[in-house]
Amino acid sequence: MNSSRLRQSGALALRVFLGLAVGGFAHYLLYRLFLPVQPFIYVAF
Amino acid sequence: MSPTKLKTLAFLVAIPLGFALAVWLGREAATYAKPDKFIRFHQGIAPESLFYPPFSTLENLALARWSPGRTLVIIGGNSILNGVGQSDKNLWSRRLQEELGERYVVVNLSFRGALPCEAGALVAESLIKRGLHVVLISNTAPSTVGRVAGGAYGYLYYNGLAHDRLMYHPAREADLAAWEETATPSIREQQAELRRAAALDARFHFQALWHHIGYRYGFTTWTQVTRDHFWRPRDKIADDGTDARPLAERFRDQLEAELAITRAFSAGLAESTEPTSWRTYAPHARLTGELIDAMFPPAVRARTIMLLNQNAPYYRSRLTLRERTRDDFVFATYEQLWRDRGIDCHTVGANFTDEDFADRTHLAPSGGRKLALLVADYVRQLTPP
Repeated sequence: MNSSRLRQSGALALRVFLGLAVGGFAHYLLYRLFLPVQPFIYVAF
Repeated sequence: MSPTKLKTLAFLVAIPLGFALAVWLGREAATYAKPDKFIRFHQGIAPESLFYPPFSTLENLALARWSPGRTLVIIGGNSILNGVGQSDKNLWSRRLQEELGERYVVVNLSFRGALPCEAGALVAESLIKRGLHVVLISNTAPSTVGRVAGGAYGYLYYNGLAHDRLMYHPAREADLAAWEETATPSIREQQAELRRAAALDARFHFQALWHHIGYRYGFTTWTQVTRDHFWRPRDKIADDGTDARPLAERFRDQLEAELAITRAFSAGLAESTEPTSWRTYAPHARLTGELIDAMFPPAVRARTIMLLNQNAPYYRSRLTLRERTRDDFVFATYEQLWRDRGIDCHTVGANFTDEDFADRTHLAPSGGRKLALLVADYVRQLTPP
């Protein structure tokens, strides 16, 4: 009984962790989406 | 509620929580994140390697060294003031700090290829707006003003604007709106995207957080500049600047191309009246004046020292007499034009030797030392005790 509850709690914690990770990844995607596609190449004039 | 539903609910609730946590971390990072032991923006922490330091990072760099009672000397401008041709040990801005002493705090926020009104100039504007005592040092060629948006560092303008860091200066907004109207559709779309990015960043602070992580813990994007170790945190990438080559090895490459660039500094800016007499080409001078007014708010102009960088004598001595007189005329005329618009302006490098130049335009360590002495004098004149 206890081990079953422990397993369920572990699974719940894993879902919470995954959710937090997905949220963080969405934030990271915003940063990546707005990185310029074309690199800036410095040329001296 | 069944265990399956509970797990799904926990997952769904945690997603916005994770996002909110990242936003909070980003908001915090914007208040402190900055490169350690910062001397200048070298390639490893600059847009050349897809590292776009946010506006807050530039401000943090300036404010970290400042304390009440001291004057902040912000160096903006391009690769000449960034110190290409000088290793970080021999960087001219270090000499400037030594020369000016404790009363001043010198921070080099110049970038390669930046315009005089970009990057460091916008940070100076923000700090003046906050009431700090600031002097801006920037540089350019005589008639080059450019615009705060549209170049490689234009993101900093939108970033500063969205975070309410910049002064109210309607002339700048009007000029940019008029410029965008005549720009190509792809440029208009690019500017719109930069505005969207800045507006989203002002809410979600993703630039500060992920640049901080990229600097401190690991970078996630491949770039040509860092291709062999792109994942390394940017604080592990050293300043790659080197001192100028020995004099005998300088000025050898592409003589004709470099001479053409030297000529272009004054060609088209003056019309000849007699063989060696010149008058300003009025339309260009008018445009330069209008851009100065539009890009520099009056409060910033009063605190700015603009340097017009002359080319190395190796090239100027190879111009014809007619071209040399035109060159001298244009530098003197445009120096006065910047002054007429309220900006303290000086031509520098005209009496430097070939030894002082690393190439046509960048300074070797000896040129950097001379520049530091000159600029220290200009700063003291602008900020009497």
